[in-house]
Amino acid sequence: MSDSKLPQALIKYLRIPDDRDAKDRVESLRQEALGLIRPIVWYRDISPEKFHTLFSPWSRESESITSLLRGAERIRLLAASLGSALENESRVRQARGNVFEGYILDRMGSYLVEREMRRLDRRTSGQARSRDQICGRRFSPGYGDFPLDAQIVFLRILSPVIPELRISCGLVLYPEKTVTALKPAYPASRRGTG
Amino acid sequence: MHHLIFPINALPSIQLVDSDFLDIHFSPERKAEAAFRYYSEIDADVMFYFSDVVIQAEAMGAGISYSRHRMPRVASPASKIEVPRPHRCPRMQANANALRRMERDFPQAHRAALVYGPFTVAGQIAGEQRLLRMLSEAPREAEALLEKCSRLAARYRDYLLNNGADLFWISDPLAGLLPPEQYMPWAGDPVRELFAPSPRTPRILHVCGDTSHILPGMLATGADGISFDNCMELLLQEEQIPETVSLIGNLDPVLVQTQPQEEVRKHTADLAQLMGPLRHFCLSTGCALPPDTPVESVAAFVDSGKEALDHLEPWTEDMLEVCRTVHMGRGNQAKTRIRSALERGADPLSLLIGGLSRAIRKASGRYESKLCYLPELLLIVEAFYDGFSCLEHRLRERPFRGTVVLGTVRGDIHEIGKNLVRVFLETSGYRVVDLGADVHPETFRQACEEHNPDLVGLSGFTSHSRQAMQETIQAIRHGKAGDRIAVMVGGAAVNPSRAGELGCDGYARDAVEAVRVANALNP
Repeated sequence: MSDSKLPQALIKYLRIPDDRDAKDRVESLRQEALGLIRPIVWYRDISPEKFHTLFSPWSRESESITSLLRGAERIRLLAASLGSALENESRVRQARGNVFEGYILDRMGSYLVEREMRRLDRRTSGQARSRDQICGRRFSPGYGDFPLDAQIVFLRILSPVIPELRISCGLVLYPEKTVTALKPAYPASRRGTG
Repeated sequence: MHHLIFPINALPSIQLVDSDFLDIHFSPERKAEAAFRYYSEIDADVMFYFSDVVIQAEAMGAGISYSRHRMPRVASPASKIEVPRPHRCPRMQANANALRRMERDFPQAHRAALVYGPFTVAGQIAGEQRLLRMLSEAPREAEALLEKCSRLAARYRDYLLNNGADLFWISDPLAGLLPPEQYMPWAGDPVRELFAPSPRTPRILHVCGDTSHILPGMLATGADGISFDNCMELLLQEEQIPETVSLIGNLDPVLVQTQPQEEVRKHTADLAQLMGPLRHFCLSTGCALPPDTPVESVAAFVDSGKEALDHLEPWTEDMLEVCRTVHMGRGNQAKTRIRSALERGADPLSLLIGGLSRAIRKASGRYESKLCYLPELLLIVEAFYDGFSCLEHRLRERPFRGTVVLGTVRGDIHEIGKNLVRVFLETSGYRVVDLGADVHPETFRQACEEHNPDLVGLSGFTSHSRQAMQETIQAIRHGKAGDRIAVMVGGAAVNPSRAGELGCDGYARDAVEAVRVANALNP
């Protein structure tokens, strides 16, 4: 097996040692991971008012969100999930003592779910441009002063789309390899105003 | 030099003669008698006379403060710098006298000519801060001073080697303060010049503190052995030391000074098993043993070290190969070598400590020094487990450091970090009771009562976990053995300051550090 199949970005992300055997094992794990994931991506555009209705009180109390949404016409809610099979397999490997494989599968999951989210982000940002809008940065619950409690709202919205989605009492979504975000769209006239 | 065992200096010898610190410095008879009595009890391969660091500075004119109750100190820089003949200096004469008697009484052992490095002596004469400033502000003045210090050091070297010494030891404690680019011109070159005329005499260099930044320069002095301070992780230095140069070190002198003999034996055996597979390793202390170190503890250090190294001797090649293959992440190769060694009668415990665990400790050190990343470390851990599967059923005893109850706190399902902590604790000799993730405080308390652990490890990733950690710590503290059990925390939910606020006993940034913290909390 040639290590050239492994994307350089993945090698860098996983910090794989420069060793042929290690790279071969990671490539094999990558193939396994790709077979285990069931990617689901989802997005919805809502008005700022609707956003605040859904995410209140956390959205109104968050300075990060207030600043990000200033001047926004629409708010895009985004989600990507890989399902639970990959992370379950990662746990099984770890429990068996295959710590390298368990760790790599877990990191691979993080890499792949982020890749799905970025693809979705790019696609929807392209659509916004065609509507003469520009997009702000992607922002997720748990960052800045926007608390993880907002995941409760995402859970409610996403439950019909991702039936196995659950939330822990620590407000962590399960499957773990699930990413949620919001992204403001501003009128194109805002461009250049900083 | 191969597998020699010795403590540095002979300061505890003062306890064996009716003498105080003043007497022993000025009475050649008492100093020689102290060495005789000391080495009659301590079976060291390299012997020293009772020596103090100010002897050359004093001879060159520095003012010295003496006391009957402590070692002498430099009290004032030299006003006029002299380069005397050592045979005219009474205290140097006393050392030569001790060497002559050691040569007569212990002809089988090496007898060290202990000389202090010119840079260190220059610092004592001029004042350390002033010397360091002089290097940039008045380099010619510094050079002139160093030249005089080197001249006396050379004379003293010849005097000692002509009076019974057969090993040349330079201690240069101040040199560790120099940055790499300044080490060679100001400290390394003078040492190299002192070593050069005695190529047939073993030449050893000791610099106190962390010397990793100047190690290439220390090797360039031509030393036949490098003695490391106890703050250094020898496993991280071994690849830089060629097999022709002895790697010497480095049991903590304070441990020998303060701990019961059983502890001294245990730590000595650990160090011997860890480094003993290297044929060019010499077991020593990381610096001079303090004068009040119990002589029985010094004997325990030397005797247990000899026993441990003798025990390893037939299997050193196997241990090194097991370590090498595990370190490369080649579990199958490690298994093959272990099976072959066991068939030839190798001791399973030695293969575990000197082979498998050695690889883990080496890799952990590399990881902590940012020389490798987690995936490489985990490959090594997997190879460890592969090798361990061949040994497990043959081990009558396993190194057992204690029991740890471990879990991710309530409301948090993140397990990767916690699982790695479990693996690293297990490979370091701990029994781990893993409660899993999202663990209720009451479950932790019950586990503590059931398993009576030495430590509890709490992992948490989210900010909500901090509250759960607090509740868990309270639950443990209110349990039956709550006051006795140490609690450590880790994970993205906490940092050292948050950990302090939670009232726990330790914080670990990652799995490798968790082992270090656990060892510190459970000595």
